[in-house]
Amino acid sequence: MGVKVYERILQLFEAEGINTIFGIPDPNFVHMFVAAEERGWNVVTPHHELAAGFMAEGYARMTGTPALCIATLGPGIANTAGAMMCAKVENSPVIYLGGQRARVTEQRVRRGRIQFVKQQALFENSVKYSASIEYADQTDEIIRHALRVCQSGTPGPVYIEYPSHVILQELEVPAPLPPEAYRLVKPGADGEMVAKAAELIKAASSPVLLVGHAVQCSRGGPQVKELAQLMGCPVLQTSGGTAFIDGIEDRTFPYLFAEVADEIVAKADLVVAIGTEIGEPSHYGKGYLWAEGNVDRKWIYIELDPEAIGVNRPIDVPLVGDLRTVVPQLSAALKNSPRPEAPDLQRWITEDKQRLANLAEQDFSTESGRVHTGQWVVEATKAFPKNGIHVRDGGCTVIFTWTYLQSKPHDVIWNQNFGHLGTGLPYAIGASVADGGNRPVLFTTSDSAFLFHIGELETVARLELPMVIVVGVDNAWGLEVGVYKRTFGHGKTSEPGVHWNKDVRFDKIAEGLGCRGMYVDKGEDISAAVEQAFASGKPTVIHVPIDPVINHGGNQNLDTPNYDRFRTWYAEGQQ
Amino acid sequence: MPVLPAYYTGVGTINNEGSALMTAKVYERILDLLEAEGINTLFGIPDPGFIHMAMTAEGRGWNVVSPHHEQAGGFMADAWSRMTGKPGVCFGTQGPGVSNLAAAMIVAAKENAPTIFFGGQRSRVAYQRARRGRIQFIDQVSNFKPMMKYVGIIEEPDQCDEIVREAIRQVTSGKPGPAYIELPLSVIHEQFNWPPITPPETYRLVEQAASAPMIARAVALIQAAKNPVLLVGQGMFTSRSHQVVGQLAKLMDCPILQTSGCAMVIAGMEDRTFAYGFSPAGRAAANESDLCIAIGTELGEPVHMGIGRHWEKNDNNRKWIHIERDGMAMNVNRPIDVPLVGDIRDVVPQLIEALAATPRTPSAEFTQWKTLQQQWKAELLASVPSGSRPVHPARFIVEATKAIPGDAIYAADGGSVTIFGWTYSQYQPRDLVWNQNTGHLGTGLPYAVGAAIAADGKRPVVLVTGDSSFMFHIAELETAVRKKLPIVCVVGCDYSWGLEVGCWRKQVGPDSPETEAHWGDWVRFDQIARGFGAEGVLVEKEEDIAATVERAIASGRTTVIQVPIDPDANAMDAPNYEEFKSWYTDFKAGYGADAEDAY
Repeated sequence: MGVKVYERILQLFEAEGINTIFGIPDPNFVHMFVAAEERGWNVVTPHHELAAGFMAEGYARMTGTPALCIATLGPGIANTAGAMMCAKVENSPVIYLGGQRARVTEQRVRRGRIQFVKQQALFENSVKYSASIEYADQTDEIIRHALRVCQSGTPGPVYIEYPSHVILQELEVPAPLPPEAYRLVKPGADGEMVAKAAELIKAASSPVLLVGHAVQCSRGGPQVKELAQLMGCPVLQTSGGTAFIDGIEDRTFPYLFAEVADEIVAKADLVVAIGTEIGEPSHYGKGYLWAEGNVDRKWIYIELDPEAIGVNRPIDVPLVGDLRTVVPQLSAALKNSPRPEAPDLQRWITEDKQRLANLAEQDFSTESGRVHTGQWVVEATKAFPKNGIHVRDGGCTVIFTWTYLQSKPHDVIWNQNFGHLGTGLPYAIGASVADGGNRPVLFTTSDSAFLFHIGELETVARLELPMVIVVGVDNAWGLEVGVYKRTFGHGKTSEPGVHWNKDVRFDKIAEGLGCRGMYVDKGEDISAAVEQAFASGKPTVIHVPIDPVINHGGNQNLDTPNYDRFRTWYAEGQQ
Repeated sequence: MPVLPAYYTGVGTINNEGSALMTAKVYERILDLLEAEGINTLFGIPDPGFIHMAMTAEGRGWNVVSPHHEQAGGFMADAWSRMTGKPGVCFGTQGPGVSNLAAAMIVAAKENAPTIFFGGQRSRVAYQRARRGRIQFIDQVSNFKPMMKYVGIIEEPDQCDEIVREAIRQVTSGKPGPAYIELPLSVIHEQFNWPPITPPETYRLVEQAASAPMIARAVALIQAAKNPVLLVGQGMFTSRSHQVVGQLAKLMDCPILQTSGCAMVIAGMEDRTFAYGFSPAGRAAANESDLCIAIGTELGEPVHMGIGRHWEKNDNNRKWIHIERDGMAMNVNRPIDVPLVGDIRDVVPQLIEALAATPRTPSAEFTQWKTLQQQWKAELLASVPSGSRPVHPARFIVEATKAIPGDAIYAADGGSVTIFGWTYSQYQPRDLVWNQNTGHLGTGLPYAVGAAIAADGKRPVVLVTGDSSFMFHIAELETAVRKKLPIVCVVGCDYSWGLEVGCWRKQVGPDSPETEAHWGDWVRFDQIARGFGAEGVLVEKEEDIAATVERAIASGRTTVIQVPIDPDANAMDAPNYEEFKSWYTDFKAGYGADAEDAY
């Protein structure tokens, strides 16, 4: 029984549990779109293909599977180029399917071919694997290799070209195989190493878990929770791992941004690092906070990519495998001898709660009367709905968020490896679509970040996503204003290029695009506004004017919370 | 010894050979080198790697324009370049800033745009490290190399002059195209003793005239021809050769055929300018011509490589002259009788000089074509549908363009709306910015901004665009307002990807679900505009369009005029669609295949 190539591609993705396609359907893709919709897929068209790439990333983080983003030949796929680079840095398993003319055109020597560029060469260096389905009967192996590569080692993006001559060709192929038949699925770690790790854990006085972004992206929270409870230990979040695991929220503390975390690090004599690159924001596990206290602490590293072992720092017990399999292996080895709870754990929990309460009770009055960014964060995140998804975007506003956050969301979507502004709104859309539009999405963002892909507000309205967006508005690229002042001094420059006009009204823009708009200029009103917005059932944008001077850190550059700590992320070549 | 230019404000010291050296930082030197080429505008979002450059530039009187998306900045630089004939300059900060430029780089390469992209990066010491998880750090050069004509990294200050000059050289020589220069943070602040700035002719080829024997052969062909035509492409516009090409046309008293990339009209040449392929006079002139002088065109698919469709019948009787700066382009798409390798700005004056003594008289056919063109335009105008709500797209184009003043810059964007524009536009712009090689939607508004900046805000800019295209970079409305640019955006709204709706119906069937080809018909661009601080108007009656456009232009304020148009007509009734389809044909043997073979 013949199946057309476009349909086969959908089947192959379905075998991995993928059922969503992001992109603008142009001639290369109309058949695939119809078929996808008939098969019950989500089909989401953005207003810019770059946004489709980010939406796919957001989807992948919520499902733990690869995601599919398509774009038409030439300008369509060119528009995704930046998202491929971002996916590579963010280690996101996004598969980009690019339309192209029939293969015969590739090697022609002609000038002035409308919309035609040789695409594979353009994207090769930006992805983990790039290929073209030159012959229809290579569809299975190429797509499977894409699925294999994007999920192996360090996950990352893939580019597959889908030339027009193969789209409608019929294949005589058997039913699609399950993933185990064509790739390594969630490999476990070597038993001896697991035993060694378990011994270290049992023998340690103050073990700690360092939990990174991959735990959320692979949906490994429940497994890590089991381990944390067996170990009775505190959990440190990396800058990328800012989601809280259901059931162990209280004992989870942000590395670098909470005083108790400093103490936990200094005291720790064993670190179990899970799903983290142990990168610069974690000082490679060597410098800054790690250089205090038990500097000879031991490291266990659960990591999928064997090539990552030992790169940033020495590892005592590498556990190479998928954390979803390895963590249960470790838990099984500890099941019969759970550790008692760390003696200081309750004190740390209490102290950190106090830290958050103090932050919330601080005096947020401002000379300008505009909202203090700290209060913007406190109020917005106080109203964070149970089971919500938190999405973030921005420079200064995000820095304030790390410190002032009052909620402990189980899913946080934020672009932290690349620090890529503008990803927030598309991430929020992808995440919400992956979730089936069930859970409420709170998106807190700065205004500059929000403007990159603001057209996607129409997509939010069209898909009726349960999203409330709180925009901190200072009409400036806040972090850059701070840079001017830090470099030259306040009042010494006109700060070119970083201020824009104060008449912009995001609530009005939102209404123009089909969302609700609200304007809230008192900090104490934000919480109620957020609740009201969620209750309305319609996607809403809340414009909140924030104090630009406080936001960028004050004219003497002293007021950005934890700024000195944030700067330590950029270890080299940046000072 | 060269005299130091007045703008050079560095502190001078004299070296051993007696010529003055200036001490300056690398970022200052870069501005000096660009100023030597007459460049005075910088597009980009100033981040740590670029605040010094931005500040110094502004202090020197440059325009510094910060977009809301670096990609838009790349497009703005392209349009600026088209309006000035000089390389456009834009930058992106390390990591995400520069990756956001990637798409603009691909487009610049395809558009043959001489854009210089600067990218920030960490200090050189970071490059070769084997580390994971470095915040915002990627190997940028390997990502961008495939897209560029030239990539340079200023590793040491001493290399600055030669790298920047090589970039300028590459983008302005042969076939123009973009360059990428990486600026590691370590280098950009280094102080250095520089030699004096010298003008372009000391470091690159500035003039490129064709060889005398070839000119003589061309002249002989011109004098022998009965029905010569000029086929004028995008290169005429981007080199700002309007005047000399117009002079040549007058001397030869022959038609000017516009390629799809060059829909602007040279002042004084309105009567003799016909769209190749999209007008009966254009088709007739192509077909009956016995000599074609191709100027600044790739002789690409939209003109059927000079071989197929309207050229085909009379191919044996026609001679070709091709004025083209890239020697490697000669004879690729079709045989050329007299290749004139050189810069349009130098070669066309050579022809003018050689022909000055023997001006031609127009052929009888040419006179008939002029009449044909007038008749056709009148008939076309009379045939434009009227009175429908929402407005018929052809009527939309006519009304939107009929009141545009003669000095306005025209920007176009969109799929269907653009195709309607080719046929029905009533405005003959001297300057038109449109993305025609790549067919890249969303360039319209950034192009309008770049063009307006190049004109110093002194000329009105009218953007006629589809709504889907307008959405890509809609936030640049704020940039237009902030810079007080007189840009009027006339948006034809069908709340769909109109051209794709047509594809659905034609390719899949009239009952296809047209999945996601439609979006919210509740969108109000006038409200969005006001949300950005611009003016916004919703116009639903066709009789109100022209007056609204006129008023908006007269106000000098950034304005968005939303006009709902008939979605079915927009999707299905694009005029001359067969001609447009005939472009995409290289998957068949031969050149310029029949339209029905195209998808």
